[in-house]
Amino acid sequence: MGSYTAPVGFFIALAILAYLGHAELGYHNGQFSPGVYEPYADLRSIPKSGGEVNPVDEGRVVYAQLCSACHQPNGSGNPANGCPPVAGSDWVLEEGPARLIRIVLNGAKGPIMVNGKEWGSPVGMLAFKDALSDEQIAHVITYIRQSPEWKNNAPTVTAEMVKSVREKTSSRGAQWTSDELMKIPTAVE
Amino acid sequence: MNSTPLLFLGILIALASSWWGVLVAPSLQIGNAPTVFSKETGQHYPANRPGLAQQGAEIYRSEGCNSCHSQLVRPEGFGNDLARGWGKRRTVAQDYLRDNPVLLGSVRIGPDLSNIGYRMGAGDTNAQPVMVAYHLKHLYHPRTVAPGSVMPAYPYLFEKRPIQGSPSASALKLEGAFAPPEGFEVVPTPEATALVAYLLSLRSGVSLAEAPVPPPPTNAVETATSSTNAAPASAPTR
Amino acid sequence: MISTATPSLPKSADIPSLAEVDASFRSVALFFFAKAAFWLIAGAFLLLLASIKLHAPAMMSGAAWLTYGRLAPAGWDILVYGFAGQAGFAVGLWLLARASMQRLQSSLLVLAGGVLWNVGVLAGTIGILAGYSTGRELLEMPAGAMACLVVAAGLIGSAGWITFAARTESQTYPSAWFVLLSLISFVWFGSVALMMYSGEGPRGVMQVLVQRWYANGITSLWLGGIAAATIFHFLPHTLNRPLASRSLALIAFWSLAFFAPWAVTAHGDPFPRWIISVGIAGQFMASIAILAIAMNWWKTAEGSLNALLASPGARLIGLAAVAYVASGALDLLMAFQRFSSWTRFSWMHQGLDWLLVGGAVIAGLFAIIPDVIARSTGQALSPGLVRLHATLTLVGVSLIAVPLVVGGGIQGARLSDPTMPFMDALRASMHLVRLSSLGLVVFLLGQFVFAFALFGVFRSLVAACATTVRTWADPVSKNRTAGVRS
Repeated sequence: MGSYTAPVGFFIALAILAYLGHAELGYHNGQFSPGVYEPYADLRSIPKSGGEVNPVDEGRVVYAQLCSACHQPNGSGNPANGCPPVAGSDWVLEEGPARLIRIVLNGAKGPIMVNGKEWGSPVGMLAFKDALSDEQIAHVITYIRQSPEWKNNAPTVTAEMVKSVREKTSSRGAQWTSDELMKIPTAVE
Repeated sequence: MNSTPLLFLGILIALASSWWGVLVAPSLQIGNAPTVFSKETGQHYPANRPGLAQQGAEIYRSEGCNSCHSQLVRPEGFGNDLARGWGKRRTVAQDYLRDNPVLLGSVRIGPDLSNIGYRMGAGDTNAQPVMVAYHLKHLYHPRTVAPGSVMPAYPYLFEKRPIQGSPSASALKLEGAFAPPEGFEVVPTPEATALVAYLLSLRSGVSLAEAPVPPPPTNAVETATSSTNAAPASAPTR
Repeated sequence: MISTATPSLPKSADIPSLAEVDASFRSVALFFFAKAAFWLIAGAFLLLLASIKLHAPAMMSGAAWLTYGRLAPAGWDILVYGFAGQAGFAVGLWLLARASMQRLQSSLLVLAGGVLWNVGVLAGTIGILAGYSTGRELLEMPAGAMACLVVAAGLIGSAGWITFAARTESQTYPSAWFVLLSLISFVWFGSVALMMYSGEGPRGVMQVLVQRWYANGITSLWLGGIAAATIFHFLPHTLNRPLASRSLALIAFWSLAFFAPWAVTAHGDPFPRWIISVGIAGQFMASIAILAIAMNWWKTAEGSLNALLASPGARLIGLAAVAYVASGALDLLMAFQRFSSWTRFSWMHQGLDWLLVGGAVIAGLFAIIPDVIARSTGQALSPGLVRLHATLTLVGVSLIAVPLVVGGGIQGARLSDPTMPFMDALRASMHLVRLSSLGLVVFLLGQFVFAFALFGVFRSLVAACATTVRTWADPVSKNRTAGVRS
């Protein structure tokens, strides 16, 4: 076999190829994260979708995790255990959210008239005051009031409203009943 | 190079290295990826395909649709997939979690199908029957709806039969040269119906953390393309 | 250039002559090449049908097995497994045996493997045409058929390694290394892919990675390895001068074996960025092998390029070398984002496949096959037919591959304008696709010529055999022929 010696240019070309390979791995490795895709360089450079937080989207997550088991994913309620509907419900679509916030904070039990039909059960709905933050409660209530899936459309509930109601009812431990709630004005002062 | 066992071992190490780097390491990282909860839809993504669509996926595989159609949308700056209206965002590993087999395809003799379920009517459920009718006609004879298309016709996924009594509700509405002879009708077989259900289930538009859907288009070019894509006749030919 | 004699080398009395080495291939060559010639015609025919359907899509649409989506993968798989793989095994073993100066060992293993291989190809083809394709490129054949192929390749490959281990020549040649790499490759990539797909199999895009790893591995190492081995053997042999550099071949060999199987991803694929990056880096590193190979071949052939036009075989090997390097160069270009965005998913994909499989592998194999047949059976193919076949193959492959690559470029350029409708971009490149269909016709004609020439060899072998039997059975005529001969 021949004893040909390759010129320097050949080795420079090899070096360039090797450099390209290493540079590719060095500069475009996305920090080896499973969440970084082309064209982004790292996790921080990926824009958040939609920019700011959308309360309906945030609330949808809370609803799916905590509420949908009884109220159903489509908000229809469950006649089998007396759980009333939230989609199109007159309680939910009330202009002021004061009663709604109280129900989520402390829960509710006993008979309740929703859209002219009696619902409710002796066990009732659980309290979420310890499980959820003001913000999360505001999100989930806003979601059920504005859900595009259910065509609900009522004003947004803010974390400040929830905070004010929470402070007012902080001494209360028991679930609400329909009669008690009916005495409270709907607007949050 | 003069020792047989050493040569054998060397080759084996060389081949095994790529197995580790290309298959084992990625598999450890993304091989068990879970579905993610989408705030937008309130459901886990990706969802399981409905049964009929799953059967349609088998037809898609067995007819070799992936010989001409890809199912991947490249990001901005890596080709014009997005500008062409083939998707709202690039596709990522998450989109394929429930597919089996995953049919990315490597050639585009036809357009990309990652989001064919969204096109024409943009996900409006009212348009569903329109889309079904469109795809059935397209499968029966592509040139009824897309003149000049090079896609093969699939008459064997349909049944041409004499009309008995009143015409069947599922019969295709065919005109001119494509219409069956007088007294006959063309009805889809279960395979064709399943395939269309699969096509309509192809939607990867949910915004994900690693691939956010960019805000709605503002510039003129993108508006122009998306409006063309909304028009039924031209959409699937793009 | 280290050639220290291994102590276990047999004594000179055991060293077979080249003629004996060649003669040990008689049955293997006949079996493998006859089957391969059949499959090549079948595969090219199915691909031609598929190609015609691109121009007349409504034609023959009544039967499911005639749809493009089944014809095209079936035809291509036949070309790869039925011809390139099968003929590649036979030519590879022959190169290995000659380089090792040893008769083919365990030829029964090879024949058993050959039978199993053809069973696998047949079952797989029927599977794809009947709609049981797995949908995974180059792995379309149902798992059972693939398993047949892997076992068969294992049998054939072990015979190759046994032959190499029993070599009587202390020096090993680059052609032998590449054959040995090729023999392991199919078994490795095939068995691992099958194993990974068995049971529940990988989820999501991991399936794609496994398929790409397999497809890239077998094209670059199994088929590409055979192509490289063929050219490494044939170039010095034809030009009657030594290979330019053994150390360049060493660099090429190890960088190919180590890095080529990493090049599985392309820009824009739905994998996390680092996986793309690993694949692209692998492509850059694998290009070192292509560059070293190109340099070596060029330096070997430099100054006597005329000799590469002298005989049909030399012309084919010239095409093979150019196609091999060109496909490597295009692969390297694909690693760059801009080029990849432009040409990916276009006809260039098929063009690249044809460049490597049609140009480097099939043309390269056909440069040697007539020689293997003549030396191992003692019956040469008709020289006229060989020349005709070589010309048709050369023209055919070039007419298929070049228009597809160029057409892909045109299609991609049109698509880079987002307002250009997809179908218009396709139409703008369709005339080149028609040209490649014409190339397929020429190619197919060429393969009929080869089959006819091979048939001629069989006929004269049968005639020779009949004469032997007659003379053995009839002592009178035996005496007579003996009398005539003397």
